[in-house]
Amino acid sequence: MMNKLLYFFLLAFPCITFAQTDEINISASFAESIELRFTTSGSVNWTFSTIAHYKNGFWPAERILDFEVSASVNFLVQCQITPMVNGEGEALDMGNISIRPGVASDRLSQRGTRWDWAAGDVTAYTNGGGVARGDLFFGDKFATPRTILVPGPEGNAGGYDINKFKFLIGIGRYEQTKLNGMPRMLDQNISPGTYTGTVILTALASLS
Amino acid sequence: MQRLLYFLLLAFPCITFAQTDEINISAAFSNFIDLRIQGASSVEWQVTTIKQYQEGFWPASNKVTFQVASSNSFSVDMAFTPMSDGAGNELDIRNIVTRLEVDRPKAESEEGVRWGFGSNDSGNNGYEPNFRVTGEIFGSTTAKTIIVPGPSGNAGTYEDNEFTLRIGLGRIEFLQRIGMPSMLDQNITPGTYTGTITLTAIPEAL
Repeated sequence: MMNKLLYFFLLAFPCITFAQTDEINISASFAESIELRFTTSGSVNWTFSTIAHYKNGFWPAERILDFEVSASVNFLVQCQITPMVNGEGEALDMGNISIRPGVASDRLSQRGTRWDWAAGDVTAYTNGGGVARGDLFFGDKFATPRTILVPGPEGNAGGYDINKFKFLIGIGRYEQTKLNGMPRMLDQNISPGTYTGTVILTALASLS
Repeated sequence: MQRLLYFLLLAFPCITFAQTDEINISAAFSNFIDLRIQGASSVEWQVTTIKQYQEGFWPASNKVTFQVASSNSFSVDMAFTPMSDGAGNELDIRNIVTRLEVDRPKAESEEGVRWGFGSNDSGNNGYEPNFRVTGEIFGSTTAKTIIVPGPSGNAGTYEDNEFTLRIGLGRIEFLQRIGMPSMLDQNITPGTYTGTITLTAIPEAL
């Protein structure tokens, strides 16, 4: 009996098949990566040389600041404007600066991003033509970093090609600055000189 | 009486007997198969720059070599587990792309092995003329057969059947083939995503 059992195993064993496995462990670590860059070259300059300039200010089309963002995560953008001072240390009233969201990128029209422009303003998705409808805002509100762009419901992570933004910046444009309670620049007794400042944009990961 | 005794002594050697016995012999061949990974069995990527998010990784160092010893022809399946960060987020496993390279194929000139590419994968579904594989296989949680025996069979030793998987992450040229955006546009939650690739060598049915 024992012999028969042994023969059975010897004959049956070759028919048993095995699958042999081994494993490879894989891991991928993703860090937040956000870059913001101005695509407007050089600096933005105004030269006040006529009475008309002092009376009405500037809002030329070329005073557009273009920037773009590339981010692996949803992001927001904050804006800060440093005081504009001359060589004597005198400061230009930042209320003279008026800012308006300009032409938006496709990402805006895709509800990927919205302007968070004025306090309480959440209406700034672009219209079909890609034109932002954010409200006018004034430079003195940017003395500290202020959020100007936030992710929309579709999120805004992505490359430079889809996250392009711009806004217009003017100085002393009276039809706007009067809304800020400012007199004309002609009436501000501004010391002659060159006043310089800096617009600082910062892209941050959105926690929401 | 003495004569009778001499007769018996002389006659006895002429009597013959037939004696037989048997020895049973048997040879049992069990089906032997083994797959083993040679060297490091971990692959890691660290995505930290926009460029890496946009273009992905394809480092030459991210390779894993494995060998199969088998007494019968065999196939090899590859399957991925989901890659998760432990916080409920998953990385689309199709971001992982593997390219097969043959180090010492069984009977190279005898078509001992061929590659099994799926319909969504790029590359040949047959023999590589010079055994330089040109295709890639996208990660899948469903097992894919990546090696199958050719007409000459591929039974052999570890040395006969040595293969290398080159493993890439998020390579944009591959993702575009299947309509996937770059990792940058996938809005991947930062974190470390881990998973496992399981290779299984399966003997041909007897």
